[in-house]
Formats: sequence, C-alpha cells, structure tokens
Amino acid sequence: MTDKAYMIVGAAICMFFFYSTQSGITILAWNAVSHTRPVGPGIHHK
Amino acid sequence: MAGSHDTPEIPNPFRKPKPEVKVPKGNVTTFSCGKCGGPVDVRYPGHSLSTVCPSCNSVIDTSNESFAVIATYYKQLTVHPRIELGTRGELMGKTWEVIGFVVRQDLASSFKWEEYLLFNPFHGYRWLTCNNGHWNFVTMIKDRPDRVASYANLEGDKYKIFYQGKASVFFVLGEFYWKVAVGEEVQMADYILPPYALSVEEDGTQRVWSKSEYITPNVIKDAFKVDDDSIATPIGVAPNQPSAATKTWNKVAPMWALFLVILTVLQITHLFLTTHSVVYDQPIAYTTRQEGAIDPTGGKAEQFTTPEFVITKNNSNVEVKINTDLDNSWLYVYGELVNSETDETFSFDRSIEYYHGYEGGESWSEGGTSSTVLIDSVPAGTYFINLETDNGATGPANRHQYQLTLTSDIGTFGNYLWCFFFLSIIPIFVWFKSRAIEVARWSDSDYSPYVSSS
Amino acid sequence: MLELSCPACGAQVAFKSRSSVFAVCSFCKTSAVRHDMDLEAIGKIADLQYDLTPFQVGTTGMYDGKKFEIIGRLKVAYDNGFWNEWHTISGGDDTGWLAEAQGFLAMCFELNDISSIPALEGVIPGKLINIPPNGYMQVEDMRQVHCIYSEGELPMAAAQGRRSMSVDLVGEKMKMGTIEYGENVRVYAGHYQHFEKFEFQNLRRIDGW
Repeated sequence: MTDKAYMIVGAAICMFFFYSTQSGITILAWNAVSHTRPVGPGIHHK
Repeated sequence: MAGSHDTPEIPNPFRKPKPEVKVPKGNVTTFSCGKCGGPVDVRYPGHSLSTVCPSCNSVIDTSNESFAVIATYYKQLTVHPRIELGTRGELMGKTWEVIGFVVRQDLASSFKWEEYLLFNPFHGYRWLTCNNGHWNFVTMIKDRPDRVASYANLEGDKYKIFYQGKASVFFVLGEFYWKVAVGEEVQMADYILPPYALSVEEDGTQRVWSKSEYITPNVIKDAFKVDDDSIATPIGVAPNQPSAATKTWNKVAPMWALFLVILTVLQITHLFLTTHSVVYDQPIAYTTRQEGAIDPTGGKAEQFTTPEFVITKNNSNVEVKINTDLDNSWLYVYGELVNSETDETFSFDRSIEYYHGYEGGESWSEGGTSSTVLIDSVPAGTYFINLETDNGATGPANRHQYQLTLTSDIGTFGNYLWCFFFLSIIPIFVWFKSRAIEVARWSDSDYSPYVSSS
Repeated sequence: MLELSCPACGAQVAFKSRSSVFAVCSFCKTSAVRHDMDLEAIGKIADLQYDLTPFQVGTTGMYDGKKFEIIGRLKVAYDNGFWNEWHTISGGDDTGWLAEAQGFLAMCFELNDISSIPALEGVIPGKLINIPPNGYMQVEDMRQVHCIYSEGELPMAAAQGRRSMSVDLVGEKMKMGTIEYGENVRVYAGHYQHFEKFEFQNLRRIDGW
C-alpha cells in the first residue's frame, strides 16, 4: 500500500524535478522570484 | 520456537477442563493403563507409538498390544492444553486433529512453550506451536538447509539465526508417532525469515528440520473454535512475526535508491547542459545623499533603465547579481526585468547593507556588499531592466556605483536538494517504524543485529 | 496381464507386472511364489490389527508426469514404528515404490547398477553415499526391519518376518534413497513429494475423515 503510493509519489517527484530543470523553475528558494506582473509598463517605459 | 524470555510463563495449569468435545469415533482403541488402571484411548493405533494416560500422565508404549508403561514422570503436574485434544480444525486448507500436546522448555532460561501435534491420515503430521501467545504452523521437511555462518539457506532464501540452545520436554499429553523419550535434551536452533522460520533439532542420532509459518491467534481461534480466554494475547513481537513496516521498507528501500539515482543523473545532466550566459554586465552609478541634505532626486528614488539585451534560451532562469562598494551604508534596489516585445515584467527588490567596525578590541562586520536574485522561467526575447535605488549613505554626497550582472540559464542545486528531501520523507518514516519492530523482535535473541551495550 | 489360480482357493491372482514373483491371494490371504506359470503356496498372511493408511491396491497417482497404479504392499516394522512400501506399476512395465512413513511420501525406483554402494559395515548415519542419478546423499538413519504384512504382487518373496537392514538417505531438493541390505543388496533412488502433488485417486476410505 505505502510502497505503491511511494512509487507514484516518487515517480512524480522525479518527473517534476526533470520539468523544473527544463523550464527554469526554482522551488522553495529564498532568493527566487517568479512573480510576473501583468503585461504593461512598469516604473516607466523606455 | 523458543526465545529466552526473562519471566518464564507456565502455560496456565489452572484452566478448567472444558465440556466434552465431540470427537468422531474412528477405530479408537481403549485399554487400561498399566500404572493406574484408568482407561486410555488410542485414536490412531498403528500410527501412534506412544500415548499418555490422561489419569496418571504415564507414557505408554502403543506400538504393540502389551501397552507397556515407558515412563511415569509427569504425575505431579497437569498442564491443560489450550486446544482440547481430539479437536479438529481447518488450517492451511486441510482438516487437522489435535492428537498430542507437549510443553517444552529452554534449559538455560526455563522459558516454556507449547506444541500441539496435528494429524490427518492423508497428509500426515504437523505441529502448532504457541510461544508467548504467538502461534506457528510447523511442517517437518526432508530438505537439508545449508548452514552457512549465521544463516540457513533453503530454496534460495536466507534465514537468519535467532536462537540456539537446549530444550527438554516438560510435560506431555495425548499420543505420538514416536516413543516419547522423557527428559531427553535436544539441541535446537531457529532461523528466521518472517513470516517463516526454519528450526533444527538434533539429539545425537537424528537431525530434524522443520519450517514454521506465523499464524495469528484469530486464525487458531476460528479454526479450532477455541474460546477467547484459552487463546492468550500475544506478548511482544515473535521471532518470525511478519511486520508490515519491514515488508514495506524492503520494497520502498530499493525504490528510494532508484529514485535518488535517477534524480542525481538528472541533476548532473542539468548542470552539464546549463549555459551560464552572461547577458548583461555593467556598472550602474548612483549618488549618495549628503547627511541632512534634501534628497538629490527631490524625494524620489534614483532611476535608471538599461539598454536592451537579448536572452536566447527560452524558459530559463536568470540570475541577477548586484555587487556594490558599500561601506557602512545600505542600498535598496528595486528592479523590473521587462520584455521589450511583450512587456512581460519580472520585478524584484533587494536591500543590501554592509556595516563593520572595531569595538572593544574586536573587529565586527554585518551584512554583505552583494546580493543575488533568481528569476524563474524567463521566455527568450529582448529585455531591458528598469532600476530604482535608494541608499543610506551618511557621508557627503558622492557618486557610487554597483555592478549589475545578469546571467541566463544557470545551474541550480535547490531543486535537487528539495526533491531529494521529498523523496526521502516516506522511506525514512517507514524505516523508523520498521526498525522499532525489528528491535523489539530481536530483543529476545542472542543474535540481535541491534546490539545494545547495556 | 497374467492371471493365475490361487493354489489354495482357486481364485484368480493377477500379475500386472512381469517382474512380480510373489503375490498374496486377496480372498484367502495365501502367499505364493510364482514359478513361471505356476504358483506355489508358501504360507498365509495374518491380518493387520491396525492399519490406518490412505492407500490400497488399486490406488493411482501421478509422479514425474506419469500415472502409476499401486499393485502391492510391503509393511515393515522396526523398533520404533512401521512403514509401508507400496509396489507401483506405470506405463508398460515400469515398477517403482511409494514409501509411506510418518506422513512423508517418497517415490523411488530400483537401480540396476549398485557398484557405488559400500558394504554395510562401512555405513554409519551422516555418511555420504553416491547413488546415481541423485548423486551424494547423506545417511539419515539405519534400521533393522522385518516384514509384518504384505498384499498384492511384489518383486521379491516377502513373507512375514523377512528381515533386512534398511538405510535411508536424504539429499538436497527432496532427493532420497534407500539401501536394503538383505539376502541381496537392493538400492532405490527417488524423491519426496507432497501428497497433493501425487493427485491420488481411488484412495482408501478412512472412517471419520
């Protein structure tokens, strides 16, 4: 039971890790930002 | 099965005999005991070679019609079997009749356990053992397991040594297919591979191997219709009691190893493939405020926009590094990485402060002069950065600068470490659970792999 | 199949195996030795007092993918018990023995080549003896036995009281062997097998079971 659940969870974690390396995602990092402002001018536009 | 338990238990000698059990009468032979004259039944004459007189506990030879008394040792004691002799039950898909009962003891610890001889005229003999309330179904085997160091190997399985000692018969009742030799000592050893165990008994002329399988008390209760107070609650963990946690651990451990290998290979590949392209690397100037002076920018923070630069790798991360020349001061930077084609914006901010000094004969410092920000999943394209700074310089107004370095597609370790951690939560939890049971299991053994130096 | 008349009562005595030289008339229990086409009465077999076996002459079973039939029995006794040796026939005229002792069953076949068998004087429990095709096996026990009952047809004259020294051997993977030191040395090799695997049919009825 637990072993089957672990097999699924573990495979999911490995796949997620692969996805994260491919898409530049950083999980739970203190110095990372992934926030995207809505499209539009920021402080000022060039 | 035997364990060296500290508090030997005599198997409930005071239990009241139960009302008459229905026994199908086959070719039961009855004769008078040569010692006390009481009636003695032999249920399976021709198979049983000795029988114990229920009145005086003498052991009688039933291999021929003279019914000679072999021994009269157990007169003084009556231990009542938990399963009445003559009871039939379904176990392991077959019907068995309980025909004999033996209490044996470990000579070193005088720990006692019970053995019930089961008979089926088609399938032969089996044993049920009851040890600390734990039951085992025991089959004698003709195979000769290989004994190598502390293991016995049978059919490719490794059984680990659990017990070795001498045992003797303490009490007998019922009939047996051999002539019960009273008081004789046998050398015993148990090897375990839950839920199985291999046991070997040697008495100088014979070596008998048997294989046991753990059975829950409820199965015994149902099979032989035994009432609750005859079947004791098991104490502790039996040598070959299956542990769900250990079973799970044995399956989870190799998966864990496999996942970690996969994860590490992916991580190495990731580090190998990342390009670390510096896309922007320029010094950016700012003016410090003079102490007490009005903000040179009229209350507004100082602003700067970088020239455009190109990020070529799609959906890669971008590391922003701000390297300052701060000296007992602070710098606040707010930035926006803006895609000049789509206006998609990633904002970030950082406060950088660095203070140091010399007090009471000791140098001290606080903070640092640089800081980094990691921006996730930045699409390929042409970008510029809007910057806004504020600072806390206290000297005279002055021009300062900081180096802004943007590196696209850098290798990271954080994801790897987090995934490593997440992958390990379940295995570590299962391992602790399994270990607790294994420690309890081996606490009765002289061969415990969890040796405590107490 | 050969059918001869019992020299005592005239009933038909069947010989399913050509190698059988001894038979017990199922009607009058006269034991007889076969001389080609004649039977010579040599005695009577006394009934068994207790006999709780699931087998009988006529029981069939499977061993090594082949069907066999029980055609005779030898029951022997030793100091500490009894066992049955059931004479079997399978296929054309392949005879073998089904040994039944203390709930264990083994099927074995007589070997023609007994050159690797040591003399009885050198045999002790624990000794390794090479019995082809099983290879080396260990002597488990040695017992002085005597025949206490026989029925059906047998390949030797098994009168009650016939004595021999029986040496049992066991090897790995349920291998077994028996050496019988009597007037001749007879060697058997085979395997233990579980009751279910034999797929017995036409078993004896046992009261209460």
